[in-house]
Amino acid sequence: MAARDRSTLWLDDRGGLITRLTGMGDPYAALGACVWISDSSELDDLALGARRQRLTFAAARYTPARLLDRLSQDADAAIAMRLARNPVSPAPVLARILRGDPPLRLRRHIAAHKRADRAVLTALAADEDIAVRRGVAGNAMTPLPAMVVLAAEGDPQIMRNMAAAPQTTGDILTRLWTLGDEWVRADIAAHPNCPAYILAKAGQGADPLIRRKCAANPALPEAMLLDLLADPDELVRGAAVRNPLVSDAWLDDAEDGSVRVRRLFARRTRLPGPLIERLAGDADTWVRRWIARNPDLPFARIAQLGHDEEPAIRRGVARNPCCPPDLLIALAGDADPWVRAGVALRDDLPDAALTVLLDDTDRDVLGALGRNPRSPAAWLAELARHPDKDVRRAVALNPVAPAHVLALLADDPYPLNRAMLGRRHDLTPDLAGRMLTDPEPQVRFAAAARLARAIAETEPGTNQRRTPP
Amino acid sequence: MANLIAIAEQRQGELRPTGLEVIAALRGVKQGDDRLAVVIIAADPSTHVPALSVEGVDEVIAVQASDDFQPDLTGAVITELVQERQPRIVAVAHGVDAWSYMPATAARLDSGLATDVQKLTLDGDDLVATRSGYAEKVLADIDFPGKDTVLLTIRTNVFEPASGSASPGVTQMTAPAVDVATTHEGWKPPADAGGIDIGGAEFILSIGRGVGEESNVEQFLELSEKLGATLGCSRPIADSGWLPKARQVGQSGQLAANCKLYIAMGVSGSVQHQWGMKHIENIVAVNTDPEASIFTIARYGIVGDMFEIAEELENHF
Repeated sequence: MAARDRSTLWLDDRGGLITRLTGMGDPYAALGACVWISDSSELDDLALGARRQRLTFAAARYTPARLLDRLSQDADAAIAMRLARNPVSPAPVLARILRGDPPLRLRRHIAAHKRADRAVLTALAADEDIAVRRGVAGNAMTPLPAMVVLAAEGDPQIMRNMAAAPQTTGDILTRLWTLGDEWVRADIAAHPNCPAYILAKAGQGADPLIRRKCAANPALPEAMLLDLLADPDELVRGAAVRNPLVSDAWLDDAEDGSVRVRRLFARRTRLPGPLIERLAGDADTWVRRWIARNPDLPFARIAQLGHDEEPAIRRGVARNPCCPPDLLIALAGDADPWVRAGVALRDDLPDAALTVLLDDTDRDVLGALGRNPRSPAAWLAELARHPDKDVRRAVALNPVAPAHVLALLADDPYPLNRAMLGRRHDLTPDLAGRMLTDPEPQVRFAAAARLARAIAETEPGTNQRRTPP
Repeated sequence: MANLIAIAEQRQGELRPTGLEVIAALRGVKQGDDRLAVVIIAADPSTHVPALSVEGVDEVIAVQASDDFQPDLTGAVITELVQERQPRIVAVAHGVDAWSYMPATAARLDSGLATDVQKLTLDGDDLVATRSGYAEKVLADIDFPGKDTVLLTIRTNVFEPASGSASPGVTQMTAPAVDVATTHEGWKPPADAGGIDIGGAEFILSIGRGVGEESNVEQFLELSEKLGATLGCSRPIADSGWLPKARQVGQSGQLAANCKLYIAMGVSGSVQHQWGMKHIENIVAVNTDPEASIFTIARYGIVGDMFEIAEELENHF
């Protein structure tokens, strides 16, 4: 790295950065730095100084856990509500709010919160409010003893929620099977913990909804799945085709008169050769659209579909990871811009195709080229000055765009483009320092986070402990 | 003498349907003695008179001039009409044309002005115009104390276009002589959107980041075709190159101007996305995150997996 100018030495210095940020008095920049600098009370105080900021950051997903914890010590009811609704609020924050005897609305949010811990959910399972208990019943973190108690209530909504909860055991599902309505039984038939005897009943039952759900069960025995693949109801067969347990070997001779089912065959990524061949020649456009993207499609079929009259099928070929270079070059000159854009997105773009595409004027093609690591730096510099803001933003999203090209975007008139630039991990400290005074708060947040991260990563033994925002 | 004046607009000799929406907006605040006039500036204004003779219109004011839009001329017509007739309201459709002359004309006349108006009501005899602010987050009621004349630009696709028939009188008005500051260079067609018309679609199925990866997008294209919907998307999907920019709904994309039903699947509902669809009456949101912003504007919300819901929908068509 070149020697830094004295006036910008603070960019690489922890104390200097903190002094600069506290001097700026900007809570967004302070919060960005707080993500990586966890022991600066000045930055924490600046980020959470004003009530308006505390309200904003209590609801934000990017606020570090320790600041959410600090916010939960605030007696402000509006802040507590935002914390309870924030999906990244950690378990101790939710537990602290619950200890404060919160009103019903807050308890409902905590009951359904994915980070609520076992103790909190056990306590809420005994809540006087049925809506709170229903929330606990549907929470994947609820411990088994609490589930058993809730199952005994016989409430239809609790049963529905429990039938869909991943941790519900076979014993509880058995009880729900006898008590619940057809919707509860349908969810039980699809549940991976569904007992075998219930699965057998569901798979042979008269209700096609329950057979369909059974066919989707990810723990279905092989024999049952084979039966359901031959079910008279096309929706049941379709659900079975979607089941990831279906083996390629079973599909060698697969034929189905239903277009709906053939489309579902064509969606599968793993298919036996004979079936791929048949589907590639199917009369239905959607079947061919799906199969055109399949990496196991033989070259001869790729070439055939690459000349299909339907542009969406040619686009599928352009996105097929095994599309050969000569066909990609041909598709780079396709009459349909969406096909050309599909080629332009590829990071294995052949040079000859790139040459053709560099003359393109379509904004989807230019956007794809802007993102493409294969695009030459000189061309990216041109795209960074393009009149279309979406094309310029594509350059900000290019993982290998060089620093001098990115610098062109630091003054982009469209704020979102600057924000995208600010989020790059390879943003140079000089550019990040420049962006600290950006009028857009999210840009200042990202720029401060970038600078703080760079400093944190140079501190011995600290970078392993940190997780990126 | 008319005291409510609507400005109808034409493009290349074709009457724009927005004029009927402006008439409808003014008809809603027309009181007992009020008369409603419609102004049309065109090379041959008489050809537009039948289409503007809808219920509630008492007079058509025909101004013969070039079919090319000229902001100075339109501003001068309004100025002259206000000075001669002292109307209570002069209104035109909200859009780039109106922006180029309405604020300046209001300043010149020292009249009241409200732009992008979504609702008009009367508080006694006083006009109240409702418009949104702060990126559609709030609605503001605006009144005009001390102003005899108020100039308004009316948001399109909010008021049901006026219909019915009437026999208004036709008044010929000589185009005022103006020093024009702009010239019309020609018409540039919009970028080819490959037949995708987010602005005109009445039913949009839109997908967002929840779709996960490019290979999943095709499923929603198929579903939208089955449903008879136009597939839209949020910015990250278009930015990734998974769907064309022409399908992007939102501030950096398209306004779903004519949409009546919008199903948002896996769309978090950023302020920028909401800009393009918040006004839609029927929004159905599907998202695994119960706290997703999209639920704050949805009429119907489903907290659930977009793929499961899509599969259920597919099974019905």
